[in-house]
Amino acid sequence: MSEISLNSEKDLSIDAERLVARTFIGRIEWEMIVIGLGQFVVWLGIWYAVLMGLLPLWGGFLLSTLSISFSYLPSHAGQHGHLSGKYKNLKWLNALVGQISLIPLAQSHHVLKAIHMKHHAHTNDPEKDPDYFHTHVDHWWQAAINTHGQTGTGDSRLQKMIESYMEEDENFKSDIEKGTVFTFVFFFLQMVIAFYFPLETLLLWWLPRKLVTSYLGVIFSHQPHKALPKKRYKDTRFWVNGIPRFFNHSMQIHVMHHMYPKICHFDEPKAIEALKPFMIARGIPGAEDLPDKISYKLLSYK
Amino acid sequence: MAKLIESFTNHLTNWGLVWFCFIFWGSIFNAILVNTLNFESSNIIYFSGYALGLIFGIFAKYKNWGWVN
Repeated sequence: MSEISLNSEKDLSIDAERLVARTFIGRIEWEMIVIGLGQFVVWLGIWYAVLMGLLPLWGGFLLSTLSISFSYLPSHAGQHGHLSGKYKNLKWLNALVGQISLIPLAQSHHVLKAIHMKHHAHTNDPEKDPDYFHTHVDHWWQAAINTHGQTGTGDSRLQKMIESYMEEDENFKSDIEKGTVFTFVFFFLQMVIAFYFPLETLLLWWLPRKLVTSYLGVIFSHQPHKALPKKRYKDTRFWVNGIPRFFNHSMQIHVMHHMYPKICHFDEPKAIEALKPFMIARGIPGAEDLPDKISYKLLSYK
Repeated sequence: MAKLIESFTNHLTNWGLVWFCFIFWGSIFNAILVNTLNFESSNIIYFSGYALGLIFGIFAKYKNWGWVN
């Protein structure tokens, strides 16, 4: 069906698309506040249970890895202002909850925010997208390894990109400088805690956060963007992997986030259902195979 | 004061990875040695765990292994 005949049935203009999208924007994403603070409390509880001998260390390792896998999305919601919604007086919630949520990942909310905003502005651009080095690789395991370059000092290409942004973008520089304080705090905190509780620090903190970082690199970045060009509506895909999307933190529908980053994560299924005709008309990869109803079950193609 | 902070930051930028491996990984290597060799804690075990951490850190610095921290 051509775009012209689609337009004759329904207004599929950009203005109409924005009008529909706007109905899903502006609320406080309280679910992410609960998850962000909740997973942090659970993680502390795991530490307590292991140190008190109530839980074996290997059990703590498994639970900690599961718990930490929930720590990034609340910060991500904060990076996009979802935790304060349209309420300007609550903006502080974004950084506060975002940072608390990232403690198990030992990451700075401000640093990740600065980098993530550049990813949105330049998705899939080899010169400007900080995620490019782990999204555009041939195999998932390369993404799992390369993503660690983003959290340490490992990838010189990324370091060069960040230095260049520091020179040209004052807001980026300010966020990185604010975040560096937390980076130092995590750096020292891990050494101090490892000195007193070495194996616990290794198996409840360091190893789980490394595994989760790899998971994030593959599921949050590589799968939605791999091999795609740098263009709005073309830079992210719908994808399936045989697992219900709930177990992939709904990253199978990550394309909705790139289309309208202000729409809350938990509102994306409804927004996709409403915007599906626009997505098909724009040629978003995978949109034509979407089911009419996006449920928590398997996101399967028809 | 600002100079002191700057030189401290510069030091950490250059040698932070080595310090991290010395203390963080040294503590872990030490704990593994104590547990696997089943010795009573002794100075030799302590030294060898932290020495391993230091060597690992120097290696990591020259290999640019950011993932170790």
